[in-house]
Amino acid sequence: MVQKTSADKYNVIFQTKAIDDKIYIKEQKGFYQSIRRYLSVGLMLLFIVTPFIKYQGNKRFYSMLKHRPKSSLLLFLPARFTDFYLPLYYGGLCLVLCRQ
Amino acid sequence: MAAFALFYVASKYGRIWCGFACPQMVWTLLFLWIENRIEGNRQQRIKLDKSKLSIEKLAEKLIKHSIWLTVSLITGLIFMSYFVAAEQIYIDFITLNTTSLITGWVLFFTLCTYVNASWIRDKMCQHMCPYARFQSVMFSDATSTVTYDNQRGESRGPRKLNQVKPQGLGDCVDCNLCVQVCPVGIDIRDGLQYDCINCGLCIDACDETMSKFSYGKELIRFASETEQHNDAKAKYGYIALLLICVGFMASWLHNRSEFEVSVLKDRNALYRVNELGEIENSYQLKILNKSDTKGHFKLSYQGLEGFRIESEKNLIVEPQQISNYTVTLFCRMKAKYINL
Ligand code: SF4
Ligand code: SF4
Repeated sequence: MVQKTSADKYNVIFQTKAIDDKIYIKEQKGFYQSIRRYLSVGLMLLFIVTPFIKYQGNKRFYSMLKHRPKSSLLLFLPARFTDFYLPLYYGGLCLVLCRQ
Repeated sequence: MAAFALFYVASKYGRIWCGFACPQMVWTLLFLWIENRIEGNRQQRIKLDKSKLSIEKLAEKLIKHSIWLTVSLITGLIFMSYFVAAEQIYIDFITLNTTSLITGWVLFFTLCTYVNASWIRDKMCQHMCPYARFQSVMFSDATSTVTYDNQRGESRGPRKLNQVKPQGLGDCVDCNLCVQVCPVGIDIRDGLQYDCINCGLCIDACDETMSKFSYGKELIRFASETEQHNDAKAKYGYIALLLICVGFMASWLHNRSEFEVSVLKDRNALYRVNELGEIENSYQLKILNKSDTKGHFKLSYQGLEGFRIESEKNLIVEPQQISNYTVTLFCRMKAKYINL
């Protein structure tokens, strides 16, 4: 029997799901994990407080969505990733979904 | 600014952004932490997934997914607080007073967070993230990436603790811990791979093993091919661009106006000549108050003779609101000279 090498494993076009089996990650402690944890907590706090930050009495990081229809386009950005994810599992969807 | 900072960091330390600060990683880390607390360690989770459906299994899964969904919902709310008043959105959501548009977006981002951090995870980094794809162009020989010291580690092989290193074997004891902790499921001993997000977890795992066997640490470590940083031009280029962007950002923050005004001709009414012989035109005035205080505005004009304006005397706009006013402009000059 021919042993599959890791190069073979990645040399696939239609079998992407096969290399994407669920990964069970072992929890690890150590120097880099601590940096990741503390940084994550810091970034999350920043994410929460940023909309409240005021400068010269007013909020600076705030896009008034209901008065700016164009800002709502920003919200569609995550939806773009769906475009990337679906083909990963089901191949091209061009035939079914594309407006073209 | 973020882009240049990212380019600079990537040129120096590879995909360190992905491994340490990317929101995808931050949320996955949180979700994994929750999973570990509820379902136990790696072995226990594998066992649980393989086990038959039972009340206990169902309960654990239910609790885990409920907590994940709650975290996702909070994330969705926080994200939307960048677009609607932050103080209000939490209260409105709890009291079920948000508009259907806002509720829809909150639920959409809840779903995005839940799917990304609980199901997609590493596949986002490997197959979907555009940044992961184009950052390889920023790599050079001087870029530090997580590297397995092949010469020192090979030939790998298991051995007993406190046993003298068997002849012909390198320092790698083949414990496989570096693979088990890897969030993208690769074996760093196979060499540099595009999937590696430079998170350093395999370094932590290997250092732990090396300590147990009383071997020197850093069998896996951050290293560059040349180990000398000869990319000064690129380095200073990135830093200069970064400083310029910081300058622009600071000046934008400082000078951002507190209101926006737009004036549109009233399309429903054509100009008309009134009984005083004046030409009369109506306009729609929109004032957006971006500040946190009530805005008082006054309409005036300069350098136009024979004109007058009719509008509400006090234009008051509530904080972070928009108000519409109808303004009528009268021109007392002879109609034939005016081209409106
Ligand atoms: S190989 Fe190491 S550094 Fe790279 S992703 Fe896996 S654990 Fe992180
Ligand atoms: S953790 Fe270190 S010793 Fe263990 S398999 Fe990986 S490289 Fe070898």
